[in-house]
Amino acid sequence: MAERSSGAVLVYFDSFAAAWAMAGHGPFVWSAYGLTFITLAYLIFTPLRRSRMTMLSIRAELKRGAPNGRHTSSQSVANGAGAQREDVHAP
Amino acid sequence: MWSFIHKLGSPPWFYRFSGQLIRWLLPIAITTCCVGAIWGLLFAPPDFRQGNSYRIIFIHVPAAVVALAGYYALAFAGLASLVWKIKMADTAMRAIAPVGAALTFIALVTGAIWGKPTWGAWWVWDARITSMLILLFLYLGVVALFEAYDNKAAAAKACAVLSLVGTVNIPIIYKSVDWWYSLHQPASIKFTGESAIDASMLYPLLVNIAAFYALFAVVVVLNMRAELMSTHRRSAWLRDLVGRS
Repeated sequence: MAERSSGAVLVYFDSFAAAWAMAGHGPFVWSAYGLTFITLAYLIFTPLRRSRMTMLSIRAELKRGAPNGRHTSSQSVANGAGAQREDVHAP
Repeated sequence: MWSFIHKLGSPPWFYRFSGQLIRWLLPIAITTCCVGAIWGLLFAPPDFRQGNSYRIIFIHVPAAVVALAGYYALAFAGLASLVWKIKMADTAMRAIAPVGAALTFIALVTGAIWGKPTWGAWWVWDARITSMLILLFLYLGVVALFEAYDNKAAAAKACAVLSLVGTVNIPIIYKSVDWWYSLHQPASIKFTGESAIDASMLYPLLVNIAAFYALFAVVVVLNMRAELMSTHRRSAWLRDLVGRS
C-alpha cells in the first residue's frame, strides 16, 4: 500500500501503520468497524445454525423411522404443545 | 401481484422461494459490505474538520437508516397480522425485531464511539439519540413479548399492537434534528436538490446503505426460514424436503 497514495490507486493512507493509526482516530474507527462486523456475523450465523440443528434432528427422526406425522400446518404443532402442557396441569 | 402475495403466505412456497432468493442475495450482501467498508476505511478522503473519525459515518448512518426502515417493515407486518390474520406476518415480525434491535444497537454504539473524539462525550441526551434509544427498547419489547406468551397467536397480537403504537416514534426520530437543533447535524443527503456531501464520500455511503439493506433482507429471510423449520418440523412438506436433500 505504501507509496501508492500519489499514484493510480487512490488509497488515502501511505502505509499499513498510517491506516491503523488514522492520525490518532484509529482506536475509535477500528473498534466501531470491528463491533459492527461481530454483530453482523452473529446475526447471519445464528439462524443458519438454528436451521441446521432442526434439519439434523428431522433427518435423525426420519432415519429412526419415527412416526412420519402427517400434520400439515404449524397450527397442529402449536395446539399439540398447548395440549401437552394442559395435560400436565390436569388432576 | 395478489397471487404472489397469496403465495408468500404459504410456508412451503415461501421456503422454496426464499431458498432461491438467499442464493443470490447473500453473495450480493457480503460483496457490497466488503466493498463499502474498504472504500470507506481506506479510499475515501478524510473530513477536513473531523479528520479520520468521520469514517464511522459509513456504518453509523446505514445502520440507523435500515433500523428505521426495518421498523416500517415490522409495523406493516404487525398490521397484516392484526387485520388479515396472516400467519406469515407473525413469522416476519418475529424475524425482523431482533435484526432491527441489533442495527439500532450498532447505530447507537458507533455513534457513541464517534461522539467521543468529535463532541468530547460518549453520550449526550440529544433528541435524536434519545429517540433512537426508544426505538431500541421498542424492538427489544417486541422480542421480549414474543417470548413472554405461551400462546403464539396472543403473542403475535400483543407484538402487533406494540409495533403499531411504536410508529409514533418514527417521525420524531426523523424530525428530531430539525425540531430540537442540537449536536446532531440535519440530514446531508437529499432526494431533491443538492446534497451537502462531496461525491467522494457520498458514493461509498450509498454503497454501504445498499449493503445494509441487503444484509437486513438476508438475515430476516434466514430468521424466517429457521422459524418456519422449527414450527413445521412435523409437516409433511418439510420432511419430504429434508428427506430428499
